[in-house]
Amino acid sequence: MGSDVKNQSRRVMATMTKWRAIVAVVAGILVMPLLAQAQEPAPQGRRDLVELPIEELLTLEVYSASKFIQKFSDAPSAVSVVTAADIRDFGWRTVADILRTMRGLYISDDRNYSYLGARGFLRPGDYNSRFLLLVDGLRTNDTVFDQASIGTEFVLGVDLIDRVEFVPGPGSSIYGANAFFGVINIITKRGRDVNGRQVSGEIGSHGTRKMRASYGKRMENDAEVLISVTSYRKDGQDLYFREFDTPATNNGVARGLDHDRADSVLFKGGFGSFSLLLAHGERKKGVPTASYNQAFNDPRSHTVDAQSFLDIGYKDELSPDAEIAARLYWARYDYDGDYIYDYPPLTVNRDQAHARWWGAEAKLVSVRFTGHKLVAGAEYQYANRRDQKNFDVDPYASYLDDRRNGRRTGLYLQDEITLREDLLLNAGVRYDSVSHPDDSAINPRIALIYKATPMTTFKAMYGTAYRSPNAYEMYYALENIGGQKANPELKAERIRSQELSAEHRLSADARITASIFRNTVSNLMTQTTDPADGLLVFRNIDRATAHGIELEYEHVWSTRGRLRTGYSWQQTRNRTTGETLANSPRHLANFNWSQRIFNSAWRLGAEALYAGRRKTLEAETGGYWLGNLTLSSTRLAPGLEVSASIYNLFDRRYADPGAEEHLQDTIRQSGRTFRLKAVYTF
Amino acid sequence: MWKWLGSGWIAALLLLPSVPLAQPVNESELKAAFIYNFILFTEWPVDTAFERGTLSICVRPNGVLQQPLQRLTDKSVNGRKIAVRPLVPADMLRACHVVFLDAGDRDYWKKIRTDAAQLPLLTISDDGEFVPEGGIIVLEMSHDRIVFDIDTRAAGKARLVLSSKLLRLARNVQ
Repeated sequence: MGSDVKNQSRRVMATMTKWRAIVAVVAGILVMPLLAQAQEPAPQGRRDLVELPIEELLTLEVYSASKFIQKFSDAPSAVSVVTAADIRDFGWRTVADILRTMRGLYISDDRNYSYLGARGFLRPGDYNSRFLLLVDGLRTNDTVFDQASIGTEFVLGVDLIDRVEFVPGPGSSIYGANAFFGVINIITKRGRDVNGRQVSGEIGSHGTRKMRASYGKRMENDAEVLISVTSYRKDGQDLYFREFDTPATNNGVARGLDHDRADSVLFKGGFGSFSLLLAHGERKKGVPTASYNQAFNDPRSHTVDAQSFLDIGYKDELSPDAEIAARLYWARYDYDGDYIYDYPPLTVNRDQAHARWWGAEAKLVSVRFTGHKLVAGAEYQYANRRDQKNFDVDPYASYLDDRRNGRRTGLYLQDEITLREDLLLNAGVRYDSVSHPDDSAINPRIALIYKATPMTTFKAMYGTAYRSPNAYEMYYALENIGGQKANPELKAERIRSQELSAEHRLSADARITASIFRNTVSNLMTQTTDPADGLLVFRNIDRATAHGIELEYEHVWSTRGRLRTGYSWQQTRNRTTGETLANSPRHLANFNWSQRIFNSAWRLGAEALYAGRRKTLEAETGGYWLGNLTLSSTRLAPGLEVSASIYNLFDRRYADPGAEEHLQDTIRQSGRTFRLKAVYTF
Repeated sequence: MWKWLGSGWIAALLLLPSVPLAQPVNESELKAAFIYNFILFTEWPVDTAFERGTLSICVRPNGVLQQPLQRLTDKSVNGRKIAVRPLVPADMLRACHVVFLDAGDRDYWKKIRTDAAQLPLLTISDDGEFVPEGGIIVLEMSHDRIVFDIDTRAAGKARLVLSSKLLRLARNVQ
């Protein structure tokens, strides 16, 4: 009875929170333009600029609205962009921090990795394999897990990011596998963006410290270079898990197991038509959750992820109306996890994955034929290692030693046809062939882009995408208790997506975007527990749909204020069971506002994020509002940048859903934390 | 302890002495002002036709700079009235004296480039990849300010004379 009342009041509270979220965002959207307009500069300011001598123009500081540049108005879907300035002003620490503020995206964290959800889909047990993560156009998803690393295991520090673009919707017609829910394109800074030597230091709660040294330059002969080294340490906090609250398991406290350390180096060079990228990153993270039925609170439990990339790019003009871009790359990914099992005795079980792959790509863009912009490309990738191992360290006992290789080939063609001055048709198709499993796929995408007025663009898009099962889903097998079994019969999953969007520029500095979408996924690969033997297994069991709407308003105004706020509503359904999917919030909202404080040297970045309640595997986890605040300045002294951030300002308790490997149905997230940061360029 | 530290530091930081600063200006409007200055400091060859005494800036109608440039039309330079016109096909380029292109005009630029190089046409862009492809002036953001690079070879081909003042103030001159 008591719990009924509690449940009911919780539901009422949840509904209230939800409505409060919607009201706040809608009010924000309505009020902000007015507020911003009030701050618009007096028209006399404009005349003044032209009257000023050019020497003075060079000294004026500008605020930029380049986020609304024309570039994306021709794109087949509504692209989200954040820039280095946003990263600084909002104190974002990881790619996950950045992505969770974008339209329709949300994050789940299990204190080992960060997982990205889009438009209501975030599958438990999926290492972001349904997102393609590109760094300067290079595919970084590895060849064992197809993992897109967006947490502290990402190969670069966020300081080295110039901008992040997220292209929602199926991208397989250009990018092939994994461009399932969207493509994340990370563009790194150039030598000239750093322009000199730069050192950065930051400290934060729970023993966090991070250091970086960079050097960047563009030479007289146009050669460009960037070198950077980053080191990050976090002692982490002691975490309490109700599920392990027994005297035998330290009363549920995982002591010192949330530690995190990451080191990375980056070298970027450019000369003439050639570019070179060398990146290496290594991250070690303690696993406090005792996932996969481990013994709880053993200090040895951790994972190590190491990634290296070598990419040589070439870009040149074949003729005035044709351009060629090509790349040759090599990459590796190594994963080492120490899992502690009490057989007894307590034994270290090591789980490993080793991936080595190389590939080549070529792309031709031609505008030779009037009214057509043709893009044709070919990709080849060969993975000589896609190995997975599992063994007990001492006494040695091997449970898995699976060695695979694999090949992927893709061919694509896209044409952007100018039907009329105000009407574009973007049509593309890609053929992919993979060797393990032996499979091929054809994915089309067609989009109609109508520029109704110079300020308003409408887009209608239909496309499909696919994802072949990765080596982990197919071949990982560990058939002891709580283990997993292989399923070589897995088939590729597919998505069919329809989207209508409208982008309207209210002025040169303000944009409003609305989209409505419908996704249908078939053969969805889902990790489940086989009731027959209690083993985890991936199966193509589900068919699922999602539909929803997204609204976003962006504004840049003269007192150096920027606002991006959005709300999305989505509904997902497992067509087999009729239920809403797990880890699928109905409502998402974000509010990102950064503003110079009066006429001071300081700038405030205020962020509010909302995710509605989500179903977990067993029950559900409540919705939450999260507030983050960053105060920063780039003008206290020449070359100096400082910032102070508070994350989870109101110390809200919130939790993300656990996955099948967790005993915890929900995993509590951090309370209020702080960070201080300084960057000096000289 | 962290709690009061948290509320304390914001107040502390705000109390730090800060430098009063000029209001930042709109990027597009500043770029338009730069373009006006480039026109002031450029000499067109004597045989250039200025129909009805107007100097035409050609720009994409839905481009970000269209509106700020439009505000220059009440100005004159050396007795020539400034006009803003939409971008035209290669064979009609003679009607433009200045062309402004942004990243959205790359395809257009590829099409007109060969023709443009033969004409007394001041090509300006804010697309960083523009200068290597034969444009004359490129505007770029650098540390929240606008700087510009000049390609004198391209200017020479177009038979335009850019004043020494512009060359001195440019970040890079090739």
